[in-house]
Amino acid sequence: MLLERIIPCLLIKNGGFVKTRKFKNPDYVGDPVNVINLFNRFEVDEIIILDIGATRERRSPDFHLIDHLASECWVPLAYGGGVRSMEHAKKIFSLGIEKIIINSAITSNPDFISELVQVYGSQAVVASVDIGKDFFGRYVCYTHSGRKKIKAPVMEYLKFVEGLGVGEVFVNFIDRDGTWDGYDNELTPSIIETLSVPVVICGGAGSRKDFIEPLSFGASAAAAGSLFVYKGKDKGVLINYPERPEIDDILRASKHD
Amino acid sequence: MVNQVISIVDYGCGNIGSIPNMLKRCGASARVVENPDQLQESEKIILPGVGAFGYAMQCLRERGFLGILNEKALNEKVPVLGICLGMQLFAVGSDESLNSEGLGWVDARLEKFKPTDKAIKIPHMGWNEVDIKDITHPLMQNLDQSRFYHVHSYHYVGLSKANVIATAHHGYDFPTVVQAQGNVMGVQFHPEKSHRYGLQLLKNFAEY
Repeated sequence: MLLERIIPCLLIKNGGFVKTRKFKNPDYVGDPVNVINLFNRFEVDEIIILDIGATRERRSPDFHLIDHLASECWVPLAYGGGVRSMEHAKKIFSLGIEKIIINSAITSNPDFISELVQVYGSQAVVASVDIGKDFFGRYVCYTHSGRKKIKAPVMEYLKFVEGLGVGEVFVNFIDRDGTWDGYDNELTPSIIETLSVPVVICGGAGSRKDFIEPLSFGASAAAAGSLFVYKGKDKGVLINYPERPEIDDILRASKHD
Repeated sequence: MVNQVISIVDYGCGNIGSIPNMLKRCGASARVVENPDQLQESEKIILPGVGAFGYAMQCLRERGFLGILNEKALNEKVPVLGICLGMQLFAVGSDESLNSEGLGWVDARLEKFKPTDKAIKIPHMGWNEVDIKDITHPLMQNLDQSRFYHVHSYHYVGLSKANVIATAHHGYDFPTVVQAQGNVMGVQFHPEKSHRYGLQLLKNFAEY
């Protein structure tokens, strides 16, 4: 049986790992290679790395850093941030990344996503969709690190994204990011219902018990940032990850929820 | 034969990344091979692969690897380990790329997963336990209760029982460790990304 995954989501800015709150105020967490080495030892299910500066600074992915991270990493790695061309993708896959995550290019160059899927297969391409609430409290999708609104309604946009052929959708709830308030359990069930590809839910995990809900709705994975890099809300850095028996308990609980 | 150098074929469609490091970790020596001539002396070969079936075959062909791979695998009977797409290429063909012929080392094809219910998501992505059918196979030693990282949408159909070393379950059982010609074996998952289980499997191959 396929096991649901629990995934640390790590953010890169200026060559270091950072953690944001509601996509803002990045705080330095640690040296990427050291952090990756710790997660290796914890035998994490997968790691998501997002370079949150690349698109904003209009630069290419930091291949040197990706090379360091990937060659040190013995667990599956997904990378996102500034991937805009087939040349970028080729380089990144050759360095040992399993999956490329695309966010801003979905709207600016949808043909690029289709081309990626054609060459590398859908299993290697993940669409990242950031969801926040607008002034009226309605859910809205965003690209460009939460700076560009998508006009289409959420479910319509998700369908469009899936239609490009991606093999997974990574959903990050902006208003929950770094809050420790728990996942969004309001919209998540209908997202999973709408999509037929695997869905990763991220944003808001405040305790390991929080993983249970999105997984019980059928998410293929629950991802978290703060929870895996901080000791608690006071933000003392402590890289951590549940041991296998605890994960087994979480997965079991999600089946009974 | 731990001291045999393992050649990892880099044909431009691979995910070479951590394979050499992982082999180093399990005490094997490895080298990355970018042109067919370098394969001449190889005593052991890893064929990785990420991407679409047709594109990978095209890369192998354009870089002139087909002849030497056939020679090594079929005539010289050098041990070959295919990883992920690399193992799918052993097939005659795949529904993923209907106009492409595979290596044809095993008389079987690849089909896309047909989900049996809505909860089964395609691609099959993540950790799955494997059910070992041939517990005596050298590749499967010391791997009880192990799980491996899978990322794929297509799986083998039409393999004979003797070709299936282990299966995994995703809606139904599908072959996840196969052997073609005895010396040719393949895994659908990524051992280089599968914690200590993958390390053990690569060690098994190094000692094959």
